Amino acid sequence: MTHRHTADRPAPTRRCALAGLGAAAAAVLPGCRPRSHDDPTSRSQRKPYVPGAEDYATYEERWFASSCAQCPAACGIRVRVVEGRAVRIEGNRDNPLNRGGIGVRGLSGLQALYDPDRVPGPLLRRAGALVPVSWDEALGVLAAALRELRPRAPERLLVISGQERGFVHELLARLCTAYGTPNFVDGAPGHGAPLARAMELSLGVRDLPAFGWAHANAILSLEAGLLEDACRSIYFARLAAELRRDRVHRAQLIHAGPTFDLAAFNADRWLRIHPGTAGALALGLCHVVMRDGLYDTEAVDRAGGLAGFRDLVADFAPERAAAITGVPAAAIPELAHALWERRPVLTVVDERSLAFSNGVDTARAALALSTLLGAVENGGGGLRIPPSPPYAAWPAVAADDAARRGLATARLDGAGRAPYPAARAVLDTLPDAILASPPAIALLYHANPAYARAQPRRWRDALSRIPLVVSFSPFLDETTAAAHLVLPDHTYLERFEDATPAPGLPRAVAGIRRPVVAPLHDTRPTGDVVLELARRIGDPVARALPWPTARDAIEERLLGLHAAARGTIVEASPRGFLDRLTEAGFWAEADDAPLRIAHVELPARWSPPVFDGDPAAFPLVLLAYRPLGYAEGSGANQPWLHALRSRPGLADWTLAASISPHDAPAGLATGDLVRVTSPSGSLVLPAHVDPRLAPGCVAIPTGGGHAALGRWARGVGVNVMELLPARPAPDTGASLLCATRVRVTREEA
Amino acid sequence: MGADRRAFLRGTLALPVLAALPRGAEAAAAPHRRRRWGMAIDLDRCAACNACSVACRQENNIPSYGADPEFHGARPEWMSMLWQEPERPDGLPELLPLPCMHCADPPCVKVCPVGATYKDPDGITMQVWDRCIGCRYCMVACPYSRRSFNWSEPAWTASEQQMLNPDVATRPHGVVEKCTFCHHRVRALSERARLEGREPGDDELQRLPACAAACPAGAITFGDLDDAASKVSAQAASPRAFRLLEHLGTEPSVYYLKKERG
Repeated sequence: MTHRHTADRPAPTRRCALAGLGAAAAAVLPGCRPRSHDDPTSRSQRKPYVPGAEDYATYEERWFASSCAQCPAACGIRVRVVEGRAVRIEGNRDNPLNRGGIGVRGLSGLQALYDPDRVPGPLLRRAGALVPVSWDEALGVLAAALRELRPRAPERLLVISGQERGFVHELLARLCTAYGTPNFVDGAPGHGAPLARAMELSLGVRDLPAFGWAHANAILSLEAGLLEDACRSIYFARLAAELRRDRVHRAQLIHAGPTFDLAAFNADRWLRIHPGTAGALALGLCHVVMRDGLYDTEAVDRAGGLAGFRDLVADFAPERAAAITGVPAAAIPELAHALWERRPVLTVVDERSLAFSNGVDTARAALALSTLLGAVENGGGGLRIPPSPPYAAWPAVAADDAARRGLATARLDGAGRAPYPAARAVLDTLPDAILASPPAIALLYHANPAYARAQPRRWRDALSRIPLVVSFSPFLDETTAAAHLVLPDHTYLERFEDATPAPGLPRAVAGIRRPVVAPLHDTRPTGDVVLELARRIGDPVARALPWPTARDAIEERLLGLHAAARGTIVEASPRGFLDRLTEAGFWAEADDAPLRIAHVELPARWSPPVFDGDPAAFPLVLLAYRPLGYAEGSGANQPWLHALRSRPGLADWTLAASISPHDAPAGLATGDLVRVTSPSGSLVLPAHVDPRLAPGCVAIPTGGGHAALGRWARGVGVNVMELLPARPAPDTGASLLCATRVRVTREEA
Repeated sequence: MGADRRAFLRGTLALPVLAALPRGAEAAAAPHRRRRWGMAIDLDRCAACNACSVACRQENNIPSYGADPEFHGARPEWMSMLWQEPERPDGLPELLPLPCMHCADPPCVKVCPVGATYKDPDGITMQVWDRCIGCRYCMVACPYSRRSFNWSEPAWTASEQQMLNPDVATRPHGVVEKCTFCHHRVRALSERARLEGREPGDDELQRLPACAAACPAGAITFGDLDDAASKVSAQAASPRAFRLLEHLGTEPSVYYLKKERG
């Protein structure tokens, strides 16, 4: 009789006690055999029955403070680990960002760690299939290719990073500089680029804004997804609750947008507007504010571009603003006066507002309205330039001749020159550029363009033309499954790295991610892999990346926080500081950063959004949106996120096209299949007839239609990116989620 | 001499032990203070972010079933958002986080033929998975539809199995499951407090269940409705407070605080 139970052995039953009198007795009592560990009826009286718990010996539990990496917000988390298994993620109550709260993505991190379809170890494509190889062999293949390419054409190395910040991301950028390629395409340029550009034009600082919310008496959200899009929604959910309930005078939340999403649901007042016209609403409000002399004269007198701005807002009389936005004309003066009464008023835009071709104009109109209503760096807070933690810098890279030659070549994506002079990177132009002149090697760090970018098929074609595509993803997503070499990273619960939250907080916070469990698979942190590659390439690349491990490189930067000798952790010795930082999970300034905005430049133009497709053939505007918890579909391997309703009123595990009854084919009911066709593609999916949606548009969530990424992701919904044109925003090169028109026809099941 | 020393040592060693004993004995003998556990959900704080429902899945080992339409409407959920259409055509809908109401007079308990569901002395409506025969009378009786039936055997891969919370038993095919107010957390805190010779404080209880702990907006408060000093009892007495389907006389222990728009 084998018996695998240890600590949670079922309490002996009376029958078993009797049986224990002798083996012979046991042999004749069939019901007395100890139940096998996989028998679901084997239930302990003392410990609850949980599959797999029979391997526990002591139930020793530990808690680790770390930072979430499921979205760029980087909330502080605490992870409960029982005998080496992570079994719970909670918010860290000490972290000033989330104060113990945590979002759906953060909670689902366990499902990323324990995803049954993770990449088990390094894989190399041989005879068409990815086969397991040793790390030494995998690294040898890539290092040999990199060594061979560098003297000839270093610029033919393309690196795509799916992240926007972080020191591992910066190590990759450093590798590119030392190697000699200008083709480091970073971040998710759809997100912040238009807003950062608007900040640069209006405030002279190319960064995302931060807000001192505490003193705002009203928040006007211009098509912002503050309480639905993953990033910062956790922070904002707390703020919204505090602004409404924890002060004597309740702050008002006003949302203007075309859909009844969670931002509209959570607003005190929802103004339904035509998509992409929030900037015109802001200028209409500016018109009334200027006409009626309701503005902060001191702030406006200091601002630049006043004459041009006066001319601009003169065109946005309430009737015209109403015609553009669809808001009743009488509502605009009434709202302008109400906002003035409640000032300071924060006017907020975010990624969702900027998903249209006129994103920069919308953001500048919002900044102008904030200025007029006294919310730019007023005494109590308001709009401000986000502070950065005082990290130390790495020494500059000394480039050799080969690197200088490579770095002087033009970027593949066209960023930095017409028509994208203000772009840092452009993703949507890359497939064509790759097809025209394929790079020799492509490295993809947490990026899945073959799924998550406009025209994924074109991306797949383009990547197939590159002789060596390398993915560092821990998951077999679409891009990774098509790669030639997979060098899987640890998940964020297995690696050490910095975790700087996305800008938006009025005070600087530096988070830390630490391993909370031993690596489950034969994976290696990408930072270490980059350093190892540099060593194998040899000097001068190796000299530029001299650290033995990525942790050494990261800690060198973190010690800037120690040198600053302020904030939540002050410690005499550097080692002691790093230990306390790792223990606490974050460092934060004690106070909000000082105000720094010196000058505001008011805008002189606004343009309506431009959509692909002839309005006669494609009458409706497609609003592709990132639903609660999904982001760009990277969480589709986490089944808890599928259990969320992508729109209130819809079933779980369902992605549908929301359409107004005005636009729906006659007799269409929720659940019926429709075909949505754009000039770029066509999809069939269930309809959601939504009487609250603004007429003239169709809203489809991102995140469905995975062909890879494991068992939980495959077979759920369709990928809306198939409908989007690869047409980046002018100037900033941002990828746009709302850039095309579509038509909707009924599809027989 | 040796015996004397032994006696002396015994005496000195016994002293602190004796000094410690009465307190421990008292604490152990102190009658368990009866509680009336309840919850208040402030809809004016709630942002409908769903963190409560995912935290509940994580804490209580609620299995995931795939996209198969066979499971539509049949996936177990203990805490999820209720979408309430407005009564007036020009009104706006409401979204409510919906856990078990832990009624003082629970219809589900009355219909259970095997006593699998019962009222715990502290007000929690409990369910003994092992005793449930899967007749689902309770699901019919519950006016809040807060009970789920396991239509198939929950399965976790060897990898996913590792994240199961060892404090909460998984439920087999054929039984009904439901929210327990995170009873295991309440019990763990109560036992820890008892060993320390004290009662759990209201500040420890307020965010004790997994849903309340996760809520970014601090919208969910747990505590003792009979403790006049507790936050939950203060919220239950708020003029904004209401309970769901109050006219049925089920006396829910979950209070909602009305959302205010304007």
